[in-house]
Amino acid sequence: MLKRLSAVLLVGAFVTAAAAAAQQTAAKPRKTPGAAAVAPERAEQGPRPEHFIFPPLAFTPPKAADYRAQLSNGLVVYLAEDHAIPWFEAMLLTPVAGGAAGFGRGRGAGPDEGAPDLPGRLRLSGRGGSWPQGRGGGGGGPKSFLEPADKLGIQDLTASVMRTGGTTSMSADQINERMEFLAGSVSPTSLSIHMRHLDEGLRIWLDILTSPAFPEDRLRRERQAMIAPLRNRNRNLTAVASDTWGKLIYGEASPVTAEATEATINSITRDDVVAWHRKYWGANNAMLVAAGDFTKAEMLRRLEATFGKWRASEAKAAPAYPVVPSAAAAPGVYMVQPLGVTPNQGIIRVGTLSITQDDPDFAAVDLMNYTLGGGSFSSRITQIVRNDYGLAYTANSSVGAELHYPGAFAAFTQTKNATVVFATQLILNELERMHAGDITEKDLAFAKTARLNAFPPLFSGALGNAANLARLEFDQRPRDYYDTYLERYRRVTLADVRRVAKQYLQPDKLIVLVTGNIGECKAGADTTLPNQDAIDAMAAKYGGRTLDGLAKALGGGTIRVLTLK
Amino acid sequence: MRLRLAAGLGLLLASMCWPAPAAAQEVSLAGQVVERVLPNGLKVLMVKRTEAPLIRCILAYRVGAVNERPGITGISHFHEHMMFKGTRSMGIKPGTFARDEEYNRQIDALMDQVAAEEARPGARDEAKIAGLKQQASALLERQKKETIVSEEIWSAYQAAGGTGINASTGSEMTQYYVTLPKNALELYLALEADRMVHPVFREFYSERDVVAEERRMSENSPGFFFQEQLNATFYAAHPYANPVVGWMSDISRVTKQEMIAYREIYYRPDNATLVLAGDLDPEQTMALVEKYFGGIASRGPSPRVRTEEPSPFYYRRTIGGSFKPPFIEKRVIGRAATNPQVVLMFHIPPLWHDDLPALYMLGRVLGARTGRMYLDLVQAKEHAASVMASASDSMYDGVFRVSATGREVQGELAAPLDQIEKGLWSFIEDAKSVPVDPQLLERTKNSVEAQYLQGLAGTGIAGTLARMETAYRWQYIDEQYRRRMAVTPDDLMRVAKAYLTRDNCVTGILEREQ
Repeated sequence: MLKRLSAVLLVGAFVTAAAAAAQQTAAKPRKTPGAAAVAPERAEQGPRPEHFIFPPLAFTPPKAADYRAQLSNGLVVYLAEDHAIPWFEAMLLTPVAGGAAGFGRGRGAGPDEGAPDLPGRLRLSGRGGSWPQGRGGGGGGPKSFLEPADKLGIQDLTASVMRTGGTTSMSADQINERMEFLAGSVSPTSLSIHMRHLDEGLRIWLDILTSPAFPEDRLRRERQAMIAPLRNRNRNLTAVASDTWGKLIYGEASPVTAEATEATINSITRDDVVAWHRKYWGANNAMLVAAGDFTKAEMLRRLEATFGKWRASEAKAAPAYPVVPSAAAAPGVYMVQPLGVTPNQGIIRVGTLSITQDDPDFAAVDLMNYTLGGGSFSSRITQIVRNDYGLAYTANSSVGAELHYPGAFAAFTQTKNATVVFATQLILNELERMHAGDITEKDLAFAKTARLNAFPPLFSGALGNAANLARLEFDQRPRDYYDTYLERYRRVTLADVRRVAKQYLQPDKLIVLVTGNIGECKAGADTTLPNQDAIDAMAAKYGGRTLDGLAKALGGGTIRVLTLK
Repeated sequence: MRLRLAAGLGLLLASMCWPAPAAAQEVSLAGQVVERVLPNGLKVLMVKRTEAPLIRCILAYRVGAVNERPGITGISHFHEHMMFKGTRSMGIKPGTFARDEEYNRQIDALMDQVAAEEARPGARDEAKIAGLKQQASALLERQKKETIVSEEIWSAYQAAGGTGINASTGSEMTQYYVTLPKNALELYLALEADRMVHPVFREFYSERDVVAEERRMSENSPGFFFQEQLNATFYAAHPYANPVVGWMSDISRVTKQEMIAYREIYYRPDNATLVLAGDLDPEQTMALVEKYFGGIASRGPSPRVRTEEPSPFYYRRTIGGSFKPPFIEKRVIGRAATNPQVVLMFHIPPLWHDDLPALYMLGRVLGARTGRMYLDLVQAKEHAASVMASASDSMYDGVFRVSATGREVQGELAAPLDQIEKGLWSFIEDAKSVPVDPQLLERTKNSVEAQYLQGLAGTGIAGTLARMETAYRWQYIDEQYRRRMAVTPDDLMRVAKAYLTRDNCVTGILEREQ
């Protein structure tokens, strides 16, 4: 999951003073890049970032009041005018949507924005692994913490059959045909449609929300579709690694990691689904965000005539967020092997329970982590594990930004079996370095600049702008979150960063999980690999070249091998 | 900001029903794109978008896995990684260029010996190889302390507020991109011009190991080997058979000299397109583009791929008459811990061909959720969990793909995969002889039109422009849309008959690993 962090403001423009230094001298083909034929003093002439000076570029985040309104039934709406094309795009925020809780296809700037479509062809994102890995986990959406333990999966099942099962007045096929004709798309939590067809689109959307038919055959088919991908989960390296990690951090029985199973999905009856819908799907549990070629006043009228009539459901969706124990699993080294496969890489996670996103320390922790492993290629774990020793495509660390319970701090990498122990030791070494306060003013200044300058892009599209602000209200977070973002990051000092590193990265609290071929990953590096000096240095510090040695060095323990059912 | 769409759009939106294809022809991207070509051949495409003070920047090179030969597969992608290692002025401490080059030479000399040993027939001297690699890694350790500044280009973009920083390599194109605050544009132009001509491939061998790890990540993903082998089987002659990441033997042994020779051919201004979409002034922007790219010498056009896939369709097209290669069936059967699948792949022409608009529309209607195939196989019979059909938009010989995912109930297939395969074929035959439901075609055109319209907004257009200009020419974005809108039911039957034939098909069957 990409952290939506944020920062604030800016910098920008450039004066190109010394850009003359950036002269290009490529008149002739070179034999080699950086050819020796070029005199050194001349060869080194070329652009440097310090040649380009950016005077501040003013940017003020938009205000909620510019978007917010309320319908007569209490439904809060955020409306953003966007007159680029005659289009309407909306999403519904609700805690009970499950996997259907998608965000609209906004036109903001994303990492793969505009990526060309090459069906059937392998595409590689060149350096792709630079973003922290998500907690992974099941295919469903955000947890609601409202589902009964024996009916896990009910929120996903309900939301998907609301769309695929049709309504009491329109069959699913009729809805499909009509939406295709209108060239729009609709789900319980979104509508995307030409402005010309908006009234009909809103009617269909509201019909889906209020009068789903929940036919038995669709429920049956949807249950099967949810169960099929669960079957091979324990054979999948990535899935086993993230599932096991969640259980170590939050505990086997925690609602945070509890997943729907074949049994819980099969136990959900039509009556259960109907009752769930009646209980939670109503205007009292939702917020609507829309952008498009309209004026706010006119759109309010049209929404009043449709969504203004949406009634409240039986109950307020008030999730019971779990109380997370300070450490579910004891610190130490754990291993797990997927069933029936012999992977040629191990996945490594090293970490511990962290803080919530609105913790006063979050900005300091985030900036500390930027230098450590959260700043992609500008961070230490990436540079050392990936660049220096060529051990992995992905190497990073992330701070899980949960709102209502602590997230997990986790360093991550995935490397061939022979270098699993070496990579783990390198990561531990970086965590210990940071814990000991080894971070400079220069490191912090870089992290701050990057965070602050990346603030404006968070507000680069009408729907996204409105959604950012709506989410603050929906998630009951501080409404001035974006207004104060700049200041929160600016005021973090080196002392703060060192303090949070000391407080939150305690080496004796760390959980190490290696997922992969147990025998081959445990063995450690042999003498045919390059970088023997560095391997020796790490071995000397961490009990030798094997994972058993590492477990011993970390508090004298042994490896705990977990088994999958 | 309201886009300057052609006046026809107003008409189009005012009509009661969705417009006939004729009306749609008045919408256009052409008026929004400012095109310039530098004397050295660099093409520059600019689009003004002022919703935010940002510019989406893409530098696309017409090079990818199709340009590779056996032995160097994956080199396009590996080179893309190496473009982040710096230049003569970036990626090293000031004043250390000569020292840095000396390290590079010494490391290369050792690794050239490794390459020679690895190329020897018979048993290799593994101890010697390990010893040489050890020496090289020890030198690199010293080089890092003395001269190298890791990731200086990436960090410069981050510090400037860049987002969406990355690069990607495909079969046909390699692109480098970032979204920057508008006032950081000059930094971008300076750095990209610099690494177009002056990259320095330091840290070459450790990065080669990174790419090997990247391939291993895919290898551990269920279904990867099946898809790779299916694709390699589909193309017997055309280099689309190459996986973009490369075969493992090549990834682990490609040399720096090979990369230098390769980039000389493809990293030229004549082979590149610079796309900028955002809050910019075209004339001021061009002054900066000329300042940084103008001094780079033209090197002439880069070669294109000559090989065409010798499919039955190739013989029909090039020879005509009565000659027809004998029937050959190619099937790839695999097992993986993932959803079972049936895949039918048919050879079709490149994206510029006159039959492509109809093939594209055929894919849309054949795979539609309201189409006959879906309604029967997924909905009525419940044999498949999903069905799909699509035509590729390829620079060279393409593929029309029809596929289904098997439905599983209590761990058992609801219908065996060969029955699903027969089911797919029955709807392919149906597409040849029964005209499409005119309403389905109309709905599909409405959706094509909406996608086109939505594609015109925002800065996402930058990626579309880069892709189409690289594969063909950017103006074809508009033409392609109009030609798709003009497709008739007869066109669909004609192309189905011409291309979706047994002798033009390669079949893939993926069973679930039990």
